[in-house]
Amino acid sequence: MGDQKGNREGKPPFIFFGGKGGTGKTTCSAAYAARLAKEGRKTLLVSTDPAHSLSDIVGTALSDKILPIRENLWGIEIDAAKEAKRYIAEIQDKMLAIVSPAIVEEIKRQMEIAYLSPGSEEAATFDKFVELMDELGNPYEAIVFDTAPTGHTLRLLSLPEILGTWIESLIAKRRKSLELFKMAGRFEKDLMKRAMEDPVIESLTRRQKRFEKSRTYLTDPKSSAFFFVLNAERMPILETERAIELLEKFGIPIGGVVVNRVIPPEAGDFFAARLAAQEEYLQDIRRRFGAKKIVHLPLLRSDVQGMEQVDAVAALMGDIMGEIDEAE
Amino acid sequence: MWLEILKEKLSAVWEFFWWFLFGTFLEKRVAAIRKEAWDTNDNVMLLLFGDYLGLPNPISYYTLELLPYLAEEMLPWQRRIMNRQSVVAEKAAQYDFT
Ligand SMILES: Nc1ncnc2c1ncn2[C@@H]1O[C@H](COP(=O)(O)OP(=O)(O)OP(=O)(O)O)[C@@H](O)[C@H]1O
Ligand SMILES: [Mg+2]
Repeated sequence: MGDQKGNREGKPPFIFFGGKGGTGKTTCSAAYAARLAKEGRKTLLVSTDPAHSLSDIVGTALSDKILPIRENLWGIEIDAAKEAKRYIAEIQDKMLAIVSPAIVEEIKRQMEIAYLSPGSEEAATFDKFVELMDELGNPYEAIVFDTAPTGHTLRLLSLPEILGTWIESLIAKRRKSLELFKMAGRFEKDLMKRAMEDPVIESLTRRQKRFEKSRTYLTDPKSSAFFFVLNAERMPILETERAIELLEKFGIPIGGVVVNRVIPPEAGDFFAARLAAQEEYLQDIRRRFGAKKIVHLPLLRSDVQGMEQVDAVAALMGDIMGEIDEAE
Repeated sequence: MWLEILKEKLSAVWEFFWWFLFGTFLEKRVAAIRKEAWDTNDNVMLLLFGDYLGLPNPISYYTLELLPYLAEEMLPWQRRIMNRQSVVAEKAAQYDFT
């Protein structure tokens, strides 16, 4: 695979950055996207962070509509609550067209329950991800996802696996009940009609296909790679290891690990004790994640703000994808 | 032409015969199937909208989009479910242990 080094075709188009809160996910996503854009790939940078820190880092006020950041680089901040609201409004409109207003009124409360249910924002974010992935090629050739802190992202990426199975069994049960209606309906016209046309199975099947497709996107190393950002400390190392195990269980290819805020050796006496501890953690990281690409990103003098500094980070990160090819 | 007419006549006779059979032998069987159909349907509804009754549902966000098609069924279904003393009791009744 060495011949693919630095070759745009060799890099998967969907890149995810994940990790614990505050480790540097947004910074790394921006740096990586900036690098792709510089290589001439039309790149979309996607943030799911409700705190909207991506705007600060790239120095452009982003929104839930795609906006240009610089040549070959665009950005969007997904607003999960807004996406969920839009989805529900669409359903309500559709319902008003099909069902009597009295029934709609009675069912409204239940729609609110579903809207408030714990997974709804994740599902809305996930749908938006897939929507963006579907648009690959027009015109974006790469999409870099700055995901939310670990637990949330893991649940998000495991959706197609878990929900796919659930939907499958639902479709089977619905089919069975329709079969039965059909058998009984041989003698009753209205039951027969029920069994013939079923928008429920149609709708469930559409969902199932979408989950299948997103699974293909997420599990094919040619299309996706997931990077973990962590700091050289004990708990983040263990958490990253667990998270990697989980993603691998779901078949999601791990691109590598970015160790951020590495204290440089020239930091001086003041950091001597920290440096020694850090060396141990770095060794631990090599031991645990040695099979994967590991990139060290030094602790910087200040926060990262504006594209100039993002470019500087990109240069320090190196070509994390290219070097993976080298390692193989 | 006459063949067509004969076919039609025959099929009318057949239909009469069928309904005769239906009336005498099949009614019970059909009723059982119909009941099973409704039960299965109710179980599907439970899997789709169980969260309204407090059962956890991993895809409640996605089942929402089925509401336009199932809204009419929703309230009668909830009534049926509430009326059931328990699913187990109902199942037991079907087997008639007496
Ligand atoms: N190597 C570094 N040196 C110094 N500061 C850094 C470094 N990497 C990131 N930062 C700063 O740390 C802060 C957090 O980084 P960032 O926003 O990228 O983290 P995050 O993982 O996206 O956080 P969150 O989980 O809140 O989304 C930012 O102010 C950023 O500028
Ligand atoms: Mg962030």
